Amino acid sequence: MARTASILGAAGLGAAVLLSRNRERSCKVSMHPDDWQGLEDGDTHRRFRSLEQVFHHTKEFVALLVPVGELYLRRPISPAFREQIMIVTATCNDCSG
Amino acid sequence: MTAHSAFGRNAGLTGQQIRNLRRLDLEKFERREYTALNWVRCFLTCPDGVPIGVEEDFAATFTPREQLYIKTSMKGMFFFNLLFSTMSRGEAGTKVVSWIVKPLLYVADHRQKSLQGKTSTKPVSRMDNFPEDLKYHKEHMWVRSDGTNGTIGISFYAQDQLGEIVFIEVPEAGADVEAGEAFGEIESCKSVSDLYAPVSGTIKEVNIEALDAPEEINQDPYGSGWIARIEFADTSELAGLLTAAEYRELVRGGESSPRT
Repeated sequence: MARTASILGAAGLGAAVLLSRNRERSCKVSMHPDDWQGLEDGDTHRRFRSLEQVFHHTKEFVALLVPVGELYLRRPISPAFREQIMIVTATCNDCSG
Repeated sequence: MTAHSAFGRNAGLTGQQIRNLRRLDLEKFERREYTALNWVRCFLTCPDGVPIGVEEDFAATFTPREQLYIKTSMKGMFFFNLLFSTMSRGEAGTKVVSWIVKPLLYVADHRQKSLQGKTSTKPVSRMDNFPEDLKYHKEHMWVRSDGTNGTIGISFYAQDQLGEIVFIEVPEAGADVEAGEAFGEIESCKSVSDLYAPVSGTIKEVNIEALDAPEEINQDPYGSGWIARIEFADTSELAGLLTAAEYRELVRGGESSPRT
């Protein structure tokens, strides 16, 4: 029992350190070249077009999981402001959802 | 934008604020808000990168921590937008997406109602709720004529079929509309539908209260939920519209949910 707790504790500490490091780096967000594909041909719905693009954005998104959680739990910015940012994003991506 | 509008309203945004986000005019926002939203827009739409002035303004306005949360909001939504658009291209993907989105909308809807202390925004459904003094268009719009002007809205049947209305978009006063042509959009938790002009004419007034609180349309579609006042281009078009009895037959005949 004590051994399990120690292992879990160490794992938790390690995860916290990794996540906090991610948090410092995570301000870096970027677009992928495939994000611009098709837009000039009138396909305004931005979508995944390659595995590389999926990997690129998944990596950046995973690095932001802690602040994502904070956004909803601690509310460092107001929910209305958060939704405004999200709606502008969805509008730019022409997301029909 | 159905889910996005629903979540926006759940977070306290009005219909007008949501509409402003589509155009993003500087005058309609506080400076800080606009700085962030403009940065997001530039980031997502400028292939050559965010212009230096916009980037500098963003960096000067927000602390690094605030920038992190703004970018996080954008990135999270960006990721799920692309996922949604990719999956919804196939039939199986559409089903999976609807399994994900519908529970989320249900939760948002439930939260909004509990925040407002309401049990329901809709009156009891009555399929024969078609006032006799109105004229109806087959696309589920009604017209109340007042000589050369009239008021238009959607029928009780339409709001009942659409479910909880979360967003409505119509042109501003002064715009011309053509009978039978789409002139706006109405979004509910279930779908997005076009609004079809029942008659030709010029919009004289738009019901701002209903645009800001679309649940008015659910609650009182023939009263406070009216959509616009129109100056008729040709009053003889009214004769071509359906009476209450004819419209009742139309909807009972099972033709017709609002087109999406």
